[in-house]
Amino acid sequence: MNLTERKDVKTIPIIEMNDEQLMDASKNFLLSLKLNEMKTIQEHFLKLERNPTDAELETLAQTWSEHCKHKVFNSSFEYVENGSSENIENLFKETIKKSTKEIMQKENWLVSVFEDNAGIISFNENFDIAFKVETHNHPSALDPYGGASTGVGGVVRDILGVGLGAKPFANTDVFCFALPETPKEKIPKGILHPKRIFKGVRAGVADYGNRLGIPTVNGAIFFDQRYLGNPLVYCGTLGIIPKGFHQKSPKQNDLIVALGARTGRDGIHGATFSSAELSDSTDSSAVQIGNPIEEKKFLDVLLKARDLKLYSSITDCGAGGFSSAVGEMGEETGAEVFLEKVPLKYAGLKPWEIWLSESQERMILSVPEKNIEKLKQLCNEENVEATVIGKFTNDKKLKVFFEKDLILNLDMNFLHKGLPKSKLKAVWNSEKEKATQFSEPENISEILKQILSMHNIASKESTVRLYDHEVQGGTLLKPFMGLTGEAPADSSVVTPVLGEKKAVAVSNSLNPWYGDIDPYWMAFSCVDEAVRNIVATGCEIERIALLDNFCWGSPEKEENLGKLVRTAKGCYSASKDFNAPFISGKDSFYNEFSVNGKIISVPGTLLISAMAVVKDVSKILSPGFKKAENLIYLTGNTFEELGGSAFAHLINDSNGKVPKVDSVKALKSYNALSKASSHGLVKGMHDLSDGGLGVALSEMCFAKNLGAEIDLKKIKTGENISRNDFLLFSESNSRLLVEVEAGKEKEFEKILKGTDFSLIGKVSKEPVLKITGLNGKKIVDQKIELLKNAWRKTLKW
Amino acid sequence: MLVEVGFRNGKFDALGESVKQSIIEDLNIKTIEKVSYSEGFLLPESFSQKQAEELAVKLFHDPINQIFSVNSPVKKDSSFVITVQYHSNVTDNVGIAAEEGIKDLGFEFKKNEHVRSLKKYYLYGSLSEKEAEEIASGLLANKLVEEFDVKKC
Amino acid sequence: MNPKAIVMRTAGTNCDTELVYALKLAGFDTDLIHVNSFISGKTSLDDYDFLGFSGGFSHGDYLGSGKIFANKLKYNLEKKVPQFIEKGGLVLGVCNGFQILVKSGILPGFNNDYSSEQSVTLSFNDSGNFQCEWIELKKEQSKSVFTHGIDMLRMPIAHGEGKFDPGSEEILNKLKKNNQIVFKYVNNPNGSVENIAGICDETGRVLGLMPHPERNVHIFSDPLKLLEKENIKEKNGAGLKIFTNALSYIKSERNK
Repeated sequence: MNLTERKDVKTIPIIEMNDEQLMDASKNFLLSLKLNEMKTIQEHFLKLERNPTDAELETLAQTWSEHCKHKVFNSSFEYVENGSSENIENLFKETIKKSTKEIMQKENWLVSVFEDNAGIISFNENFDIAFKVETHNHPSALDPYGGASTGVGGVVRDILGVGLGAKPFANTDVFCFALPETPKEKIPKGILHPKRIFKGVRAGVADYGNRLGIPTVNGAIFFDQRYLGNPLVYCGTLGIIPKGFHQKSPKQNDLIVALGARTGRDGIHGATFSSAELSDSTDSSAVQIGNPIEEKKFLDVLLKARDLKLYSSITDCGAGGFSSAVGEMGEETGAEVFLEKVPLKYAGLKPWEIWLSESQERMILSVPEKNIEKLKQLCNEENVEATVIGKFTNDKKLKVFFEKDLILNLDMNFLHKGLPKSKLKAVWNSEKEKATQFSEPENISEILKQILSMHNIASKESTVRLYDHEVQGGTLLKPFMGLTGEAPADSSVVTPVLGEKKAVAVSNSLNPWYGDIDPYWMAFSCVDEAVRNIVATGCEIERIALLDNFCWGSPEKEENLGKLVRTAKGCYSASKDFNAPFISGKDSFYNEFSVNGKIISVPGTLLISAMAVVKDVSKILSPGFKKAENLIYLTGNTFEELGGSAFAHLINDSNGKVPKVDSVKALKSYNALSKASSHGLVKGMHDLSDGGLGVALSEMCFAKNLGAEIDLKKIKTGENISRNDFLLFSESNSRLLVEVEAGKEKEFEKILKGTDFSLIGKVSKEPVLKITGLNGKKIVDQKIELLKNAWRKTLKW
Repeated sequence: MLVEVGFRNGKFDALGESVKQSIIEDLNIKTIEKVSYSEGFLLPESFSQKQAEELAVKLFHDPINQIFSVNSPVKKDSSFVITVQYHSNVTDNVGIAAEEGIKDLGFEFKKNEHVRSLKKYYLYGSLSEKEAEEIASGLLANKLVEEFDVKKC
Repeated sequence: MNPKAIVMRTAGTNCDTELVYALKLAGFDTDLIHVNSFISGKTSLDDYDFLGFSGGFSHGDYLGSGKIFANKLKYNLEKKVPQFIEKGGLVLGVCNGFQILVKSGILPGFNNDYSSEQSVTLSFNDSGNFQCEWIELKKEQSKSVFTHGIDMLRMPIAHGEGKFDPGSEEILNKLKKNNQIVFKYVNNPNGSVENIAGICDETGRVLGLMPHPERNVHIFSDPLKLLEKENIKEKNGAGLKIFTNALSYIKSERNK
């Protein structure tokens, strides 16, 4: 017996299907479900003695998708590392979530982690702050502009839907592309040229973010040819929410209200689409165009409605549309939806299409009946549409009707907890680290200029200035500063409450080239970099929280999973050591593109985003060197760690030791620097990362067009390093360049006692970078202007 | 009715110039001499010529630096013209905004009547048809969300 | 009783946070209200001394930046804003606000006619791109009541359509003759004719400018000030003067 005989609702006869037919059904309906998942569903409906409707099957597929359920991370693993096997019951709980749980035992400032649309930590007595980062990769590969702009729209809605609604106050954007100069002939059919993708993504993010009035303050752009068919677009948003507003739950009889844009056929299958590899025949309905003004309109209204306490819960319509939003919100109660009440963009949608549409700019609210008129009035005043489409019940069932016909009847428990757990096998084999093979180049100045010109290091100013990073008036440390606005800052500092002493610092780190060698150290390095980026602001960190975003290839390959597990372990260790809990995260798999049977997979790309509360924003330091004759210190220890470095890539050497982290020493060093800064002893700070010391020195000179005189012999090293190029371009972690006022060495060194540091030179008035090598001879003697030109010219469009 | 709005001759067309730069730098097509950009607004059939003109004057064009025409191209001397429009089921933000602006001026829409916007690029120079096609599909329009038309003038 | 300011917003207005903050910091009691409330008559401009239009992307900048909001002022609010000005009210339009004031015919307001046809415009930056950066303005000799004690002023721009175009030599000459040019860019970032960044009406009580003074009310908002932070004792950013001048003007008019 079927649930309904309506002509516009299909019944899918799965209860009689064999395994092959089940997989065919999964493929044909774009469900992206595995055999054991299809069988679990089959079993469930066998018990019900009926077949599912298209709406029911699609709903299960969306809710059980990788995007929504993080199946890989919640799987149990047989993890084989260098031959020895380890059982991991749940990867997520035993790595990322574990360190957070442990930190929560001693810290009381984590408000909401891993359960809502974003992570929330405490900011001050009145407010909490939230952060979410997610990716929008596959749509951006097909329509860069639309994919990126809807990526921004989606993550902003997550912030609007965290707790009872947070006000977005900053955006972050991290992109991974292939080289924009890739010759046309090297572009496979069906793939857009990387420069076109870059420009499209860049414009999409600008047009949407600028219109929402959220400053884009932090980000990165990373280039590697393996992103050719599958760019990565990470969009992040930070929000501020009044204390006490983080909890929400619908009550029985609360009305289900759809807010915002109307529903159309756009973006259907978005969640399952993101779990499938791209090919040159991908269905175009998965691509959408956003309407930022619609989103801004309801952002304005929601904050008012929130403060008037008009609704009991809120969430955004993202992947899976209403099916996910209502399904999640009603998990503990049950819900009834009447689809014919949904306002449509145009006629002709089938019921399942209305239910699963991913039309942009929609939110779902649960509204107590007594408040609905006031809410509608508020919305009406600002031309926002709010429509009652159902109500919450108490039978723990999800029921969807269309014109009085029941077209979906699912048990909430089955929907949310029925997903069978997977057991996966992951394999990791370390390769013995080989020392760097190439011989020392003759002209170090030339090498420095070439490294500065490398895409991953070159100035991104022309991109950054397309984004309003000043809107809302609170951005104190901006992406580019200095006399001419060309000097890069390591992180951004924003005051979400104007005039307040406390501020929020945002930073990010990714380095897939380290991951190519050892993803454990990639993770650790990224966490260290995110932290030291914030140390470099000069402000004292009160607390710091992290987000993890994994973009990976196929989870069906053991080696890919091996790298994943190793990365997750690195995340755990680093998070624990730095007392920086993860509060939110996401993963995106199948970032691969298949053309004529060949698979191009992205390198495992972990993005660590950090949000810190800094105590006193008046301690903030503008980037770069400030005054001639000031002293230049290099804190931390330098090792011969060129594995995965910019220099190694320039020379094309895949050998070298990947940078490690001594977190105990690092923390000690960072605390000392914070103290020195709070005593006013530090005039400028910059962390060392891609391109090592050479690049960091150059960048510090760009702020006021001052120069520097450096002696490599003075550098404190953790092992014997006999080459100048190694000293200059090694990418050892946890190091910062620190400018100290002349005459204050004693005080500064007293505070840094017990940590590693070396006085390596001084700032000079002459705008030239002079570096003396180990043999006493000058190995770099370059005008700052020339270094800056090399750094700016690559991406100046 | 199609109301088209473009820049006055003699006024700098920054958007057109930007497209021209991309054609030269990104597509490596050097035969392009100039690009003129204009926007088009497709009004529902129930709107008359007179109403279209009124809307052009009051809403669609900037009297200081723009010109408009109804049902005819604003530029007549180009080598090619490429017209780009979103597919009918894709969100058209400009169209949506136009509807609000039109209603504010006192006009009414019947049920299911909408305004659709389009973009026109007038290409000047001794380009070949192949080059014009490449500009359309390689730069100006994405087939997944837009349809486009290349016309030789 | 403090002077009262109203920031009028619409769909897509988004720089209201900092404008409201700057006005409050200067001493105004400030409200932020949607234009629909004025169209319906629920709120009246009569209750205010100062009317502000902030930056943003009103209605997405679709159909030309500020156009749709400008038409609402012109056709749906009819004479309300001109009447407000005629009664002695102050009006400030920043960035999108400036675009709205010129496209609704409020600025330049020749002959105190605030309902005239549009005579100047703000068009696309010569670069064809949106640009966010700090710039420096030089104050010109003008009647503006907002600019006392100001000579040079730094603040950020963040716009894609900031190129000032007076439309004709005649209009440009009129602006000059009437001392209605208030600010010029020291380094023109967008191709504005004669580097014009802001203009006022003939009374000096209406000011429109593309850059954002409300984003420079804390001293260290200015990256150049932060660069020299050692030597700096002031707390307020230079942009605050625009707002305190407005407040002083209103207070002194009340005392008359």
